[in-house]
Amino acid sequence: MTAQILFSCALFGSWLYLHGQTRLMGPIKLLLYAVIFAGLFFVWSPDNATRLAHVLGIGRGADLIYYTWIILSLAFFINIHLKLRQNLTLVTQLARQIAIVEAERKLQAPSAVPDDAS
Amino acid sequence: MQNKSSGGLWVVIPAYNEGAVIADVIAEVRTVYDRVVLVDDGSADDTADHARSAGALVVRHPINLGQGAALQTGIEFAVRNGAEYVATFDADGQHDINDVPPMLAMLREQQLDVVLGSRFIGKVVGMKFGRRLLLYAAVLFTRITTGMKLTDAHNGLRVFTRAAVSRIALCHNRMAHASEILEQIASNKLRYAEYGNTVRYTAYSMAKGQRASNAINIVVDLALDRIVK
Repeated sequence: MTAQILFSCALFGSWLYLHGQTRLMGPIKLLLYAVIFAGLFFVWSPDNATRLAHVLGIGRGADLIYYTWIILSLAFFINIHLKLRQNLTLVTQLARQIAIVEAERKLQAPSAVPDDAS
Repeated sequence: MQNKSSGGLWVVIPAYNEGAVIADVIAEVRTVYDRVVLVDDGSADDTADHARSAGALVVRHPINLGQGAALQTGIEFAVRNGAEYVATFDADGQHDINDVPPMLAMLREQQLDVVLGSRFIGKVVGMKFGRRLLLYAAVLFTRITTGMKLTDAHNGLRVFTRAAVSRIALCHNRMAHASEILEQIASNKLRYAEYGNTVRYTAYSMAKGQRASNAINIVVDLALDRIVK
């Protein structure tokens, strides 16, 4: 019972966090809500997890939860990686603009460039 | 050696912590071409000062972003400031600037969009066996992913026309940019050819060069890119 209460509190905390995320796209938010409610359902009704595991050809309900957790973790990892890349792209564009504008400012100063025209 | 005022060619050199050699490299390049853009990729040393003293136009990233990002910055700067042709050149002294005029001549005479250097058609000095194997693997990877039949897929010496280089938009900041350039040459259907250039490996350039393990990072980066697209 103690573990069930702890897991439920953790899932409720996840729900509160998710509720506050305004930048998440609708389908992703719905999927995460579904994961939280499925988690609550299986925490309080582990027999159904085992039954579902059997339907899917997996031995135990715990294994079903474990495999699902691995797949979701991988999906989150890729999602975070892609978001970091998006942010890096923005930082790169900003740094590039700063670098080019600064160099062009110096280029416009007299005698900054060799006289040879291209 | 050709007249410095001819060609309309700008040489773009990305550099990170190359203070020990950059002045000599730029001095050598400027014996042939005056328009040299040194992109200092947020170096912690005095690369920018040495480059400026040697006569290069210095574009300085406020933070370190990677060679691909530096190359793209240099290309954009050169194009914005009127380059008719852009050559990319390594900062560690591996390349010979005297290879560029014949590459430019080849570009013009054969009406190509890009000429790519190839050390395996030309001359390679001091390369270790492991590096050779890695480069052969890169050639095979390029053939599979782009269909381009090249002999050297990761040579930093390239000459582009203005129109061609304007169609190159590098997204990979770090080492995957070499493969990305080839992918974009293939996807934009640019006319290309290889030219046998000279690459000289020194203790300095080998120490600065890529680690073999980077090949895995490059493949992962490119694969993730495919997922996103």
